[in-house]
Amino acid sequence: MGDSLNVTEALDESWESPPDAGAEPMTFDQLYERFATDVLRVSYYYLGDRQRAEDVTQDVFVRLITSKPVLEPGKEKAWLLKVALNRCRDLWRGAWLKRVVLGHPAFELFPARDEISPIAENTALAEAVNRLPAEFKEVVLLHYYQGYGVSDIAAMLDIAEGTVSSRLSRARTRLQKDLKGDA
Amino acid sequence: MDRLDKLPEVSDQVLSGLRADDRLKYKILQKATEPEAEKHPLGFRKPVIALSALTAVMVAVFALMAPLSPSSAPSERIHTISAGNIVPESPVNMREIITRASRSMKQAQETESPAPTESPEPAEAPAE
Repeated sequence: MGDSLNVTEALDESWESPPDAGAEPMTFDQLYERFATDVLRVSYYYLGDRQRAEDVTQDVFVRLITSKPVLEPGKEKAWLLKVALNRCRDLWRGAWLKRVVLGHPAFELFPARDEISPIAENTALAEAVNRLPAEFKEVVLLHYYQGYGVSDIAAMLDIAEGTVSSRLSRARTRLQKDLKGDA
Repeated sequence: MDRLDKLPEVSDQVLSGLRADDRLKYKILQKATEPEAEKHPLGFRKPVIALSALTAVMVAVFALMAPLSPSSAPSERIHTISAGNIVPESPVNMREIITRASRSMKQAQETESPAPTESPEPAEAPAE
């Protein structure tokens, strides 16, 4: 990875932060280390396909390098997730026919090798979240998995706060029904 | 729904093996630094090439077919319509159809029983 380190250093030189930003801007390495796994897992929850989730994560970070956005300190992850969800949405719409013909991709679990197999209850919850319709899945992942508030989610997804709240409520109802059915 | 509040821990457990590793980081850096032309994979370029080729073929076919298209379609179509069965297939001038149909009927009548041209009263001629 010697080459990549040089590249990273070169990229970091041109990294921009907004004017008057007090905090030091994060480097590509720092952003990748802190947020890439979250981007990957959110994309995986959305698409249910590891390869595609990796492609989305790759696209997001390539865009970060090439378009050099002005990121507000503390809002880097929000930007990364927003770009990831937009990309997931594009892929999801694009793969509609394939999904209809071949069926929904199986949501596999990836427990670490040294870990005991996950409890069935947890597996059921993860699978139920993956089965949610796309617009519900987005808000559930951002709120319950990534811990964003309603107003932050509304800004990230360019929708009204009321829409976020109603989607969250409807998603909860669906999940409740789905998990009762599983039990 | 309390179970949803546990989603971060649940995800950490069920997806703990799914991590953004150095292999992915290397792919990202490679992709970000490669020339613009190589960024789009063949999977993306294939449909674009196919679509361009198809468009070119369609333009060529239309260009070839243009001189062969009928120039005065209504009169050509009317030619095929028999007097007793007027079924216009396209929005052609109905008045023209009726005029032509009645003209052809008149012609048919004339050929069956030709009227003498000298007589001022053609109705009486066949009787004689």
